Amino acid sequence: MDKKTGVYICSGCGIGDALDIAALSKVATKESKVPVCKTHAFLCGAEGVAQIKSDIENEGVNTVVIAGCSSRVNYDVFDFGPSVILERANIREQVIWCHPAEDEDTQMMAEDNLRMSLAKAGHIEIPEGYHGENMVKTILVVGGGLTGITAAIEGAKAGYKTVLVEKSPVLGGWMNNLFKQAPLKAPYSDPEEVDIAVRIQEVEANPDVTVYTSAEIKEIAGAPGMFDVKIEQNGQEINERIGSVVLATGAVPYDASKLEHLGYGKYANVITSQAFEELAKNGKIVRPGDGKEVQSIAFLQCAGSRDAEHLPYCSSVCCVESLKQATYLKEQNPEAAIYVFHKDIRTPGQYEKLYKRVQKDGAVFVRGDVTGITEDDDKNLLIEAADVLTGATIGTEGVDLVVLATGMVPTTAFGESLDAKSENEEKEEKPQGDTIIRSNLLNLAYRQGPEMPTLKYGFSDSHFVCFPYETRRTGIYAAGSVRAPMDALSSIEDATGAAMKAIQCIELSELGSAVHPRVGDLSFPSFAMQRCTQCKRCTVECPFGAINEDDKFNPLPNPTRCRRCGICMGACPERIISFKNYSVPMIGNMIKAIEVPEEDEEKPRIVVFACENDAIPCLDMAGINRLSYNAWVRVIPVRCLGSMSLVWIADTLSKGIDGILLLGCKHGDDYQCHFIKGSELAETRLSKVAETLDRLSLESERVRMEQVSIMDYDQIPGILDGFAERLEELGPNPYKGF
Amino acid sequence: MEEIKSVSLEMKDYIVSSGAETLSWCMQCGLCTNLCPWRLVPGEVSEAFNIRKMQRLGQLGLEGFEDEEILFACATCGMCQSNCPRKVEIINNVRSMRNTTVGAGFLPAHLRPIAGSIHANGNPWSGEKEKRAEWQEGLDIPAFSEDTEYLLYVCCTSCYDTRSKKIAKSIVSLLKEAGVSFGVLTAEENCCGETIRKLGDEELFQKLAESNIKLFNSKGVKKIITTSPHCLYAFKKDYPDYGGEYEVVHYSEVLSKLMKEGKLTFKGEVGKKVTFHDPCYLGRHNEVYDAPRELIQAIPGVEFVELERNKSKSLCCAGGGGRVWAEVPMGQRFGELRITDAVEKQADVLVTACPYCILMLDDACAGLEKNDVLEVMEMSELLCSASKP
Amino acid sequence: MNIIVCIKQTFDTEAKIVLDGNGKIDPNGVNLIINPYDEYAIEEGIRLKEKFGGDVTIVTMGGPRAQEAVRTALAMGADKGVVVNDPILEGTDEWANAEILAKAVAQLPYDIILSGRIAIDDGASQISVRLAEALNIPSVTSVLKLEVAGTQVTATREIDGGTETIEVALPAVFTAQKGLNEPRYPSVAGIMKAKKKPLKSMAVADLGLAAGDLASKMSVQKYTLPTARQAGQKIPGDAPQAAKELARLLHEEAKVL
Repeated sequence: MDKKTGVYICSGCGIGDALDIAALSKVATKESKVPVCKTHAFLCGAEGVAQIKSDIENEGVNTVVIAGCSSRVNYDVFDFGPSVILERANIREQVIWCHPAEDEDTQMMAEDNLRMSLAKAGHIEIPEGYHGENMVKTILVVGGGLTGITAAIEGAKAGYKTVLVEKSPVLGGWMNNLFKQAPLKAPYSDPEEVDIAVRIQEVEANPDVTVYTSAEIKEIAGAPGMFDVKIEQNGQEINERIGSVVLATGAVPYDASKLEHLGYGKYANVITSQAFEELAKNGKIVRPGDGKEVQSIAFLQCAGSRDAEHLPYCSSVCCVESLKQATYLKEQNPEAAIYVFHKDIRTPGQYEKLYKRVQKDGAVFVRGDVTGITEDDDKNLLIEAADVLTGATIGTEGVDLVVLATGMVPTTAFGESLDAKSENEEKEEKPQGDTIIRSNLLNLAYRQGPEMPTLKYGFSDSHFVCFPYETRRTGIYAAGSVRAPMDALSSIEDATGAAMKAIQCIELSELGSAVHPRVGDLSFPSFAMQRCTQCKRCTVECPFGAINEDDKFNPLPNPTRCRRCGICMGACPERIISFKNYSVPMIGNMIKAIEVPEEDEEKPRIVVFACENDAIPCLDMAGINRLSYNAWVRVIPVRCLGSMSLVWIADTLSKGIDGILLLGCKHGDDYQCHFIKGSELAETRLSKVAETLDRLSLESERVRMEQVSIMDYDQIPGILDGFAERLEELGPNPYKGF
Repeated sequence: MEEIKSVSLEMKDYIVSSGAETLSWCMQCGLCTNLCPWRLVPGEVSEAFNIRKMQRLGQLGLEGFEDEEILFACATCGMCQSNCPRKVEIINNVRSMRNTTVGAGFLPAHLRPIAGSIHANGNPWSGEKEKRAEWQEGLDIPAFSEDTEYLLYVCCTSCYDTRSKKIAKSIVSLLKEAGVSFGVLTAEENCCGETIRKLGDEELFQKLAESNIKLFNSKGVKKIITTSPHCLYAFKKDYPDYGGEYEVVHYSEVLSKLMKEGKLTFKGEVGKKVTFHDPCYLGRHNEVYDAPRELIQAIPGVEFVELERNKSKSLCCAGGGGRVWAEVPMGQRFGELRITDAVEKQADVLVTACPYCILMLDDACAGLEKNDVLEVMEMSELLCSASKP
Repeated sequence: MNIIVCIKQTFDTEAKIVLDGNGKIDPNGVNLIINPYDEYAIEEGIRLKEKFGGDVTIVTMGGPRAQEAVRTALAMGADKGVVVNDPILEGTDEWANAEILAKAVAQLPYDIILSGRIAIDDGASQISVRLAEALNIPSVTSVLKLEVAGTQVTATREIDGGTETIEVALPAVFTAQKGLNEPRYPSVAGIMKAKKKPLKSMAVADLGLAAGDLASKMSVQKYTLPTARQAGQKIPGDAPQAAKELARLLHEEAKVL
């Protein structure tokens, strides 16, 4: 593309008072020989924008560089359409708002920012979205319980064809087993009739939904918008072309045979809450074994839950379910004695009214651990428990029946575990492999593994801190109790949310745009395969399984699976991967555009590679709060720290820059990295760099990584100034001036 | 090996059937214990008495709640139940728990003479029944008849206790001045029974209620003015259980209304700093907060200040629930804290409108030796002192 | 150990005594309690049971409300109760009462018999000793301390100006004086259990006695209320003056000096 660049400098928001605008303009006009360079006191106002638009229309400007506020604001104002290249140089939040006005160093900072932006604009090409062949807008829902049915109906209501696949012969899932369901409407104190039959009817009658029962997914190949799904039904294979997938295969009760310490399997009258529900459904609530009518009952909550030996987590619904079941017994027998032994009673929101009702019915609630269960001659159970509220150990008289309220385990947790390993054996520090369990639910034809990665308890991963509805596989969304333990109401909401995400994916993929989080990004990685050495780093390190492999280990990219983070770009040692508007040489030239003063000027330089998701906002926030830090810093925004190519470190240091700071999102258990792995990968790669640096007699301490979230802006001065201090101790980069 | 305590649902049912219907509503949040005025004083009772734990022992039918110290420590001030998130009727539960032992014939030793006196003399002060109306001598108070609007019911304390008799007299004088149509039946009355019911003697309370109701109904009583907020509570909230339905008001409510209508004016000046202690039974239990304040603030020259803990947060004087007859060492009575509150505000006069509060606060003021800086007055006495220039 | 405690239901200490139209004591509307001295006996009996094992049986004679008193004692910890309820009791004297009581007690096994030293209504203080005589066993009254070892008892009793210690072999009757112990406050569990403990009710005829056997040896002629206390006299003046006047009044008017 033949570029005609226009540079527009805003002098509003104090910029004009803090900087020498004329000198700044010279960077554009004299150094870069930019044909159009204008300033305006209020660039984001109607007049300022009109000026730019007029230049585009009349002067043929097709590359606009705006020096002013952060690119995170006014993006709606500075929108010139898809055929204009737009680059924003941040001289407000990251320069004048945290550095002294009319100061030489502040001026140098602003000028370098403009230089880097001009260098970057020089590299940007307008991306054209990827359009696959035969892309469809059909949604596949795997699992025909309440969640799956709801997702299918919601998708169909929004106008999208849906395919619903259910393993068992009937739809309805867990709800089919209930006698009554927990209250969903006022006064919230009475269980309701189960309404799943109505929902099943609705979904079966909907012309836009194709239902396959007694069917399983044999394989899902392809990518969002272009999935090829093989469904096996009664020995026959059916093919469907699918746009996006909702995983709604639900959860199953925890195996009570592991709860012998609570009497299960040992005593005849200790049963699970599922068994109790069945008893109620079948009519009179009587004891198994001797058929005696139940006059007294004890519900043991958290049976095998919140317990390091069993399920460490809370399953969210068991308290409500037991309270509901207590009402069954009271309806049948108003004089029945009811005990509820618990760690807490978790009845959020309106469920509190159910709790109050059961209290008013006279149930005895005991908070504390059950320390022992024994049986008497009549096969009644005597329970001993610590009663926290009186500080004593109490013992009950014999109760007729004990019900263990067990938790739920997602269907994704069953199967052989495959740890996706990095196959670069020489490295000692490997990034954490994803845990993939062969649960035979989706059977993805992905190099990374056949199912979605799971979190520590076997639940399909969602980016729970920032994006609970997202997963690590673009276009595949988990909903309902397969994602997290939840009640019916939440499952319905979850299903609706997942359907919406599925629709979002389909529509954006059709446009060639990234789905999440870089919505609207039409770029996608291209591979210069002639230089590929089949090292497999890109295929392994991609957090989203976007890159398959052929049998010779050549990478096979799937653009619609891609999230455009650039982690593959950073991983590739041969640097064969690039985006139209983001590449290794582009950043390299930005680094080269920085002016590095001579050693005797005693003005060190620090380059900060800052990820756009948490680090850039954090730096902006520091500016908004007018926190000040040293002016040696030069910020280069990157999509993800994982897209860091190690050659940038070499470029930076050989330019004489004294220090390099990698500023990125938090990784670890409660990770916030928007691309899951990027921040962690950067840290791993850094450790490999240390050795190289030491060999070059460059202190490895010159390269540092810090993790921040947007809320950590108050730490920015400390981080940046602290680094500057250390660099002062180390002395200037010996390569300065070379 | 820790001793295992056996849960007894039978015992729990026994407590519930004695009147603690809301016992199972309690979710053991503990707010009650933290609001209880016992937390503000040191001592054995304070350390033993934990209202949340007491309710819990009742819920499980475990022994321990009936320890004399615990069972009879509650002053029924209502701070707990007016804030309970589950709206548990905590005082009713305490009353029912007391009934389980008192109903079987067991009252703590210091309370036996009180119950005995009520049985024999119709009042808890061992005063002779025949002398109940003696305080009326020379006052020309009309007897209640069909033409009288209100029955004036005077608390036993003000019928027999020398200091308290002055309250009855000043209230009568104010009612007359305001032109209220009222009459008395004092000589034939018995104690309203509010406190003995709180102590758990339901049988004795029933006896009193039935006799009073029979008397009132036979005379055609429809409206009652009480001198004590405790009697107000009894007639308004307890008597309907036994068939007594009356319109009941505290004297402050009547006087305040008439004052606003111009029928009662204060011509005399009282140039003092006055503060008001809300009695638990007037404030929290019957929600009368404004009437006393309106009256006090209508007195010319009065500089009215509010205590820190006022209105619904008022700190109990420790007289309710039978505590007025308990022996409590100095330093452990929360009534003393009230005197300190008033002195802190540099008030000249601490006014209240309940005969039990007067007893407790008088005692505390003397015990703390603050009589030279603070005067404790019943409201009617203050109002009377201002009615003439 | 078989322990028997004899109790009496009396008027409340606070009760006002009035005479009815027939010059008799009017029992209407009077609150009834366990004779406070009997409470010490009940407590002692329960303590002995706790120490030596065995049973505590409460025996009483009285009208229809006497059962309440027994239930209260059962709630404290006694095991069984016997009530002799008969209209004939309205006219019996101490001798006849003792005969009836002896017949009731004789039907039960006993190692030790306890009761209060005096009843606060009539203040006769006779029954227990008469009972012992009728049963032909020793009795020790006004006991402040009781030490039991096997069948030997060492009892400390109150006398004018001091105490005396008596050793006696069981079976025997002991009457309790204030200070023997501190009666316990029962638990609600005790109160609930008491409702189920056995309580036998008997008429005088069930004891093998006929009205003719119980002709009173003593009859009450008349009941009068004590004269009302006169108002006191206040003597004015300073101490030496007042003392002089007081001396004169005591000598001339009260005639005690």
